[in-house]
Amino acid sequence: MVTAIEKIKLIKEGKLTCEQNIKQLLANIEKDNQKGKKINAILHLNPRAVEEARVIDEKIKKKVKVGKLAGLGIIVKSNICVKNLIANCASKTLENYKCPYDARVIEKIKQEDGIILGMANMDEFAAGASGENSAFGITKNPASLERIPGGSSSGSAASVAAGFCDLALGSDTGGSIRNPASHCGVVGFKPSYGAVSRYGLIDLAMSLDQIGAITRDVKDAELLFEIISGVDEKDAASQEIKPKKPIQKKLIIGIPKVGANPKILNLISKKVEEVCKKNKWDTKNIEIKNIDLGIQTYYPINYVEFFSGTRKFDGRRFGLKIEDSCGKEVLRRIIGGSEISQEEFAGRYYKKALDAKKLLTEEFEKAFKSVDLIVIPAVPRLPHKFGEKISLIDMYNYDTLTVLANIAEIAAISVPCGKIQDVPVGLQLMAPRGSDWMLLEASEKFE
Amino acid sequence: MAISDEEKAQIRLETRKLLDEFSKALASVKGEEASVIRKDYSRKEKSGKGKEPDNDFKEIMLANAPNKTEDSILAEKKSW
Repeated sequence: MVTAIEKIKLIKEGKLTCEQNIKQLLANIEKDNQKGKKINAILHLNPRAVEEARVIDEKIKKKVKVGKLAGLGIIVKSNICVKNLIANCASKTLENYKCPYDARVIEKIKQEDGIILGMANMDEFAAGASGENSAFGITKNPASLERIPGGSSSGSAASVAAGFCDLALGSDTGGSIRNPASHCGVVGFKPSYGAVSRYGLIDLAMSLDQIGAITRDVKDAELLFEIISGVDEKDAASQEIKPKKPIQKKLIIGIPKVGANPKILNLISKKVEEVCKKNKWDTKNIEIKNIDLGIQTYYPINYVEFFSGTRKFDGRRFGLKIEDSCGKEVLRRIIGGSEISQEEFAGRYYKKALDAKKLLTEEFEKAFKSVDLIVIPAVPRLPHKFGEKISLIDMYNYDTLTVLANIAEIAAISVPCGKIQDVPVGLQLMAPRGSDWMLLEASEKFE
Repeated sequence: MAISDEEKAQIRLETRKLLDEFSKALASVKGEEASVIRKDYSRKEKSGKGKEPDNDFKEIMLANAPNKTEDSILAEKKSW
């Protein structure tokens, strides 16, 4: 499949019009989204996509300067506001909610002449890691149709893998970009916390959420990140990152000990060895204390912040009352968050988790004093098959290796690393907070 | 399909058990007293009229509302 950057070149050279590109992507969607392979990655299409493509073609014809994303079709996770499209977070609660404004990232994409093709399926309110928790049906994994695509940005990752779009936006709170990217065999990039504005993102956990890129290769992720990143006065957590600068030193890759399927660990290890040998980088075994407390730290924070964030879904101004219309996992997080944020439990759950978050953040800062990047698998196991019984804790354990970057507020990316039993496996790289560009450049070597 | 009261009770029990397990795992983590540290900061209020919403913002917001009049959303007190 052609990457976004290759397509830009074709459009610039006049070998492909924007209209042709958008029509082809829509034809791919028509063939396999609800019919054919029934991927069900996309919930709502932009009815004006072809018209918007024609406008850009006219600009090109008249030799008017066009933006860096001119003519590219982009799929957006259904928790990111796109004006006049439905951002229902894959929930009955917001089933027909039409966005009255564009999220900041969408404004930036439109300014660069990117075309929003439609809204992606996801786990309901981003509460999930499988793609099975949508109120509008499961999303299939185009790389392995009988297995889950991962989540919660299931539709975004599946859209890229299935050729439904050139680029996709997801959101990542505990791994929701990197997890489905790993399972679907595409690139998934979660920026440092604060690098990308959250204005217009319907939040899951406000201290952990980041919007990021899902793409065919790392260069495409760089392109999209360049457009969507930047300080925004409308996001109080927004902050500058280090400027883009070529890597001019020999990198040291840190390898901590983590639990995962031995075949996955072996695949990752071989890839690291190969890349480091080729680039003359060093590896170093490191210890990150409390690295096994990720899930226990993440979920209490997620539950409490989600409970707080869902108080607006009371059915008055829009949608339905969430407790009366949501699925089980969303209800679990609301109930859990409501319980443990009561005064009688002060200091026992949420505060404890925040203390652990601070500790883990310090451990990562310490680790990055002796290494430049850290490499681990994106996901500790292969994606399960649809219909397979899986316990709640086993489901949560999918996040074991991805929550760490959210907790520590650092940049992280999943890059395809190979396959096991014909199922894609992602290699995860993590970099110090603010070193997003260094991470992206280094990640190219792992492709 | 709506979640039944029995299922809600079951979810509550399971969730509580899970969170207790998580809390136990974090028992050895020591933290400081909760406090908010703020640097001295004063917000600069911008002058002028500010950005106007799009013409259709109100139209879309009203279209999303379950109960409304011509130009306002109706929400009966305690009805939810």
